[in-house]
Amino acid sequence: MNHLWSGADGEVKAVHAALGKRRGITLNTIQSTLKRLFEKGLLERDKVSHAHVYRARLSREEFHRGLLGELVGNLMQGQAEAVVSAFVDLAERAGPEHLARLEALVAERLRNSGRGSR
Amino acid sequence: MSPVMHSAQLFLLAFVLFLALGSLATAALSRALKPRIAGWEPRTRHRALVVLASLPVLTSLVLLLATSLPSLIALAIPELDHCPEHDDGHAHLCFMHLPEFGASLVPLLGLVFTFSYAFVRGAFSAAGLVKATRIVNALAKTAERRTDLGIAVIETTQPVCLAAGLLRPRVLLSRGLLEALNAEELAVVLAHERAHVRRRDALVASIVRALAVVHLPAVARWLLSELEIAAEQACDEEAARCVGDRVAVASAILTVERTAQHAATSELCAVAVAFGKCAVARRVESLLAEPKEPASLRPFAIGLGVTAVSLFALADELHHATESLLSFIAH
Repeated sequence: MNHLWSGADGEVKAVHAALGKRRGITLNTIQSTLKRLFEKGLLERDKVSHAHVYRARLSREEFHRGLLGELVGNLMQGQAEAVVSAFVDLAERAGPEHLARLEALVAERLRNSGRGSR
Repeated sequence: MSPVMHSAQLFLLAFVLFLALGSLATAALSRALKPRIAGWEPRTRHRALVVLASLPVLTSLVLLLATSLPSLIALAIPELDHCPEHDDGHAHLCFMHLPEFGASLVPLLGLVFTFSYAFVRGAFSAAGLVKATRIVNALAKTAERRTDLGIAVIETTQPVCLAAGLLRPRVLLSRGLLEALNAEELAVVLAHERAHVRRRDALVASIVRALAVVHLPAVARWLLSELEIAAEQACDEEAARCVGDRVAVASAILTVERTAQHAATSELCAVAVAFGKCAVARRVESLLAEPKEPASLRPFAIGLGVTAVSLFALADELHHATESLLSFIAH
């Protein structure tokens, strides 16, 4: 996916030349991986002469947004909590009045310490 | 059914009974210790909660070992074998004289139900873990690596910062958050997440989640939620030590929370609004308060050690009491 997102050629032989040779992966493995990603709906392909040319169906941002949505869904069902520690909860937000009260407290402490408001 | 199977049934039944006893004892201990634990600094609180979470399993293993001790000693010194004193219908917890009767239908069904329930719960949890790990791996593999910061950048405007992964945890930060934070806030966020990675909080949380199955539901809920917040606060304290400013950490938490609120409103994300005091409020208030003095778990550990030694000292009585109880339940 990273290779295709970089705008590189999506023809199987070109992908193999760019990735497979360096990592010791055979042409068949590259071909079947691309086919699997196509079947999962992550890639699109066109037939140019006798070869398939693949390209990403989703942008990297769309792909990441989808994965994050799935992760938040799992968090809400209590399935992913053990794998992920988020800096602030992904699935639960503080009430606006709580947040305003806490911000006022922090601002006061910053004022008192001479650092002013941020 | 063979005598070996009868013996296995009785030992399993004893283990389940001890597990239930350990669970009830932990519930009582948690209730008694709750106010004291709340006053401890986060790192010690986290450790105490992990010990409480593992207490039912530890209790049942110690009780099972203490109960089996006379039989184990009889294996080494046959003169100390006391089984001939019992009649044949006795539920022997013995490795030399295997019992002629196993558990009757009702306790046997109880055993099958208990282990099936544990297996199904375990399978669901494992499936959830595998799915979440797959998502995290996909994110990490396709994110931009920023080796200067030791993070992977997720391409989304949503403000997200995660320490993710069980065995090889890594820090994932979204492009949106990276651009929204100033240098000091970024230092706080990264110090906090690196602390999670160093402490292996995800792995500990997974183990505690697995152990929570044997607790009473209310105790399990309390343990898991308190463990989560204790881990967050412990990482906040480490971040505060790292940047040398507790208020800066509180401020960074609120900046990220405010940014997340804006994103949730503008992108109509599916999030719940905390009812009452949420984790963010507890973390910020704790950072604004005076730091708590480090507490010691030594008295707690000594108490548990003395209890375990007492159980081994009472091994004979425990052995006979358990055999009598099993005879009553199993037959």
